[in-house]
Amino acid sequence: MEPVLRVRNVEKYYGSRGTVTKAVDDVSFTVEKGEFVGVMGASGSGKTTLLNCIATIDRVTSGHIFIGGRDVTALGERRLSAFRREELGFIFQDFNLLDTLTAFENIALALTVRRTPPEEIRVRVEEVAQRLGVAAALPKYPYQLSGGERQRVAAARAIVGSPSLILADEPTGSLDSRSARILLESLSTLNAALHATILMVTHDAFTASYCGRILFIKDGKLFSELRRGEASRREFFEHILEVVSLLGGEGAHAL
Amino acid sequence: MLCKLAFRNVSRSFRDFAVYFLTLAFGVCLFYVFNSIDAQQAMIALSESQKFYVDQMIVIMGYVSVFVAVVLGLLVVYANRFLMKRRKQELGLYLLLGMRRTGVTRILLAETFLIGLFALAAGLTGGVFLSQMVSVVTARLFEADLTSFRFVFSPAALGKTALCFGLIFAVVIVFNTATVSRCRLSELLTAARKNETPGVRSGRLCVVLFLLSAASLATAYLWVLHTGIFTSDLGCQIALGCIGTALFFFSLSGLLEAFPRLFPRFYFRGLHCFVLRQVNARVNTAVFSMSVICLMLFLTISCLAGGMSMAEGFNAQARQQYPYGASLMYTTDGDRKPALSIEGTLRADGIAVDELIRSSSQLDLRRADVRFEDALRFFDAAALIYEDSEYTAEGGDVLARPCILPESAFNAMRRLANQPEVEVGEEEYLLWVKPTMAQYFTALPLSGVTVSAEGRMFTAAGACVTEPFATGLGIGQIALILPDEFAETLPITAQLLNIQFESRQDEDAFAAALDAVYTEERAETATGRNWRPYDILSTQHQMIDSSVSVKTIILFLGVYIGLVFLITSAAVLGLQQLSETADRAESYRLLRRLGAKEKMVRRALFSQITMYVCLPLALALVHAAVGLKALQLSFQGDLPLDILPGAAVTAGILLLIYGGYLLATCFAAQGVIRPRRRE
Ligand SMILES: Nc1ncnc2c1ncn2[C@@H]1O[C@H](COP(=O)(O)OP(=O)(O)O)[C@@H](O)[C@H]1O
Ligand SMILES: [Mg+2]
Repeated sequence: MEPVLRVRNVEKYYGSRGTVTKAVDDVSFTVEKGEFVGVMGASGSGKTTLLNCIATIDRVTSGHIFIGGRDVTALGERRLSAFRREELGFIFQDFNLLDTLTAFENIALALTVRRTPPEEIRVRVEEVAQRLGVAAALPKYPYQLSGGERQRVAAARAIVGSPSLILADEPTGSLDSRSARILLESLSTLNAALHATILMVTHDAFTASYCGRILFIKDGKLFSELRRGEASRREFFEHILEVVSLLGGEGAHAL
Repeated sequence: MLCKLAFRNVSRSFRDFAVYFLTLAFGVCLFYVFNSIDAQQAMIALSESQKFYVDQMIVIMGYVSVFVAVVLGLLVVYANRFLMKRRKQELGLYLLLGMRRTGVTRILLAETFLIGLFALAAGLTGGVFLSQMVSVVTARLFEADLTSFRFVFSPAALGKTALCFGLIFAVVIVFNTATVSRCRLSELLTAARKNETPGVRSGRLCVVLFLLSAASLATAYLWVLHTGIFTSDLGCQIALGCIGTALFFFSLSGLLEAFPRLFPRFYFRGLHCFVLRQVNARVNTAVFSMSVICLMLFLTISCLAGGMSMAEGFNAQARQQYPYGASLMYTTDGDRKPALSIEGTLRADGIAVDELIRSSSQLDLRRADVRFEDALRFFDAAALIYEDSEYTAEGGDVLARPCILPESAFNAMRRLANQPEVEVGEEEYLLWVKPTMAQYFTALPLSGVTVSAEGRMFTAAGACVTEPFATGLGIGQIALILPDEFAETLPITAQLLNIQFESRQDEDAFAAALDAVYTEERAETATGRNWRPYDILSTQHQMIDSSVSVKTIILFLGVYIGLVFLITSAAVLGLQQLSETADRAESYRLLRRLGAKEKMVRRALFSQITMYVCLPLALALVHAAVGLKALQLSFQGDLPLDILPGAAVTAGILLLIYGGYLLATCFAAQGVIRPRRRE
């Protein structure tokens, strides 16, 4: 079967004439359907840039990215927005909820932009909110919600359209540990129960330990890969710490 | 170098400058137009009396211009402040790169100068062309000829405009310098995004308040439509309207809560819910400024449409009110002065009557002892209207001694003015009342009211006649038209000669000829009191000039102030929207990430701005429609006001200025949310 995501020799350079930063440097990997993959690396190692390229928010300098078999680097601007709508779901570090809309409407927005009928919208939003434990928060405005609830609403928005790939950039970055755990458990459940494919970027080993597979990135290059296999989360966490200490540098401090 | 940087900045962020530029240009244009009236009148053939009024108008315009300059000044400073806020980061960067504060100030100065120069050029170009049109309008209002249409440019107005806007720029420069020198670098670099929580109001309270708003507006509307605008109740009506307006904007947001439930299909389609929420949040936090702007727009529309309709109406009225080119009245006073043919006497005194006059007719006013029988009902009703004891059945001097007009002579007058003839039977009378009182009298039941004159009884032949039968002469409040065979036996009290002329030149020549012949000396040396065959002379244009001039001043002031208010409202709304969009630029990025098409995002932005900008306009239009209707009603009978042409012109102006601002705002806002290219 065709993998959900195939990244082939992607490079992304910043800057022009003279100083060139290789934010992503010849990265290739594959994500199969139903996987929960983490991308770990120190701050400035190019994680966000890589994710943004996959998310079609940024354009690659060279290389190809196939999502569901389609090469997104070859799509035009108009096709891209349709593609984003149909295939992708995003969760960002800063919650990115619209503060003038209620939680319900924030989640529904992902559906209204693709013209889902309103009856279906209601059903799906409520179902997803239930699953992420934010059903009670639906009629509230973002400013009335806690950070954790907000992030779970953002997660609900990311998955409500049943995207083939969910992309998360440091989703626990601005959460306290309890909220972070609730969110991560929700993501794990989504992955296990609905076979949602998730690609999550983080610099935090605890967050990463919820994944099934970790890609380590350093200075824009893939450095190593770690599979959870049959290990428990706690054991996996220890493994990750080992690799991180191997990585050294800033990454170690981040813990 | 400095200039180059400034020039590049302006051209690069032209979108940011759009609203600022438009405000300046409109301001300059307006200011020039209304200050160049002085020079413009050169090409209009004005009579002496008209010149006097125009001079008066220019003096008043001068004072109003000071007020306008202050308003425009505040507006420009406000617009500039927005611009500065947008550019803080850029300025911070200059400082960070090691540029000295004086250097940064100088860049700002150069920019202000550059923008000002462009705006001045654009505004003046527009102003010069527009002022030519204003001359045409002025000529039309004064019914004067455009002697020779030539392109007039007023250096004085240019100087005044340049001076005024120079002062405004000086203020702006002082303001900007202060901003730069007071600002900390860190502040400049981190343009903090204000974090407001959208004030959400309880739905039930809002429904109650909305009903209250609707009720107070409806009350105000119905009340003012009932009483007209010239009553002491107007203050209360306006207050009610203001309260209703504020409550409307206050409660609007609560009503939107019900929107998703009522129209789920519409609400949950595309970005509709986003747009509505955004507008809602904005209105919510800007209830006060929304209400003020709405009322200001209402004032603007009323000023423009009302002013224009009234000026037109007064002109039409003047022609109705003064149906003859000239009226001469000779009071005979029975025995002391003989009745005479006025025209014949004029001819005998050497006036070229036959050359100057197109047609004329003489009417003798007669006197009789008149009693209104069974008229108590009738006059009580009249008294009720006046609430003034002077007009009761017994004591009314007005009603007690009406003059008597013979039917055929009266009809001759009506023919002269192209009015339909009236008919009076053998034992019948017709009541003529002064036009200004017509609305009270025409409604009263005349049938059953018998009149006895010199002991003979007459019954009413029909409703009141109200068209004036002289130009600009006061001939009592009422008169009776009686059959010739009876009326012509009565003693004459006054004689009236009405004249029609071929042209205005003839009319003026006639008045001048009378002046030349019947001089002061002649009056002194005259033996009898009949040194001239008339006591009062009044010509149509003499009357029209005085009435039209005042109205023209009203119109010009109305348009001037109205336009300033319009520009102010539109600019403030546009700037509010722009700064709001800048604060929320992040939201639009998020929409793109959710996969909203670029076209969809742009449409969401535009409809949000359009809705926000048009909301106060919509309510103001309703207010204005009612206000204008009330204006029309208050003049009913007196002055036939045709609101439509004035309203149409106003709509055109609104479309141009308001639409212009809307476009500029959308244009600028699109620049604010434009996706930053990462490449
Ligand atoms: N818009 C940009 N322009 C220039 N350089 C950039 C830009 N965005 C990121 N970079 C650089 O690319 C590198 C990777 O950044 P990023 O992907 O944000 O790292 P991470 O998310 O892992 O912390 C950094 O060195 C950063 O300075
Ligand atoms: Mg990052």
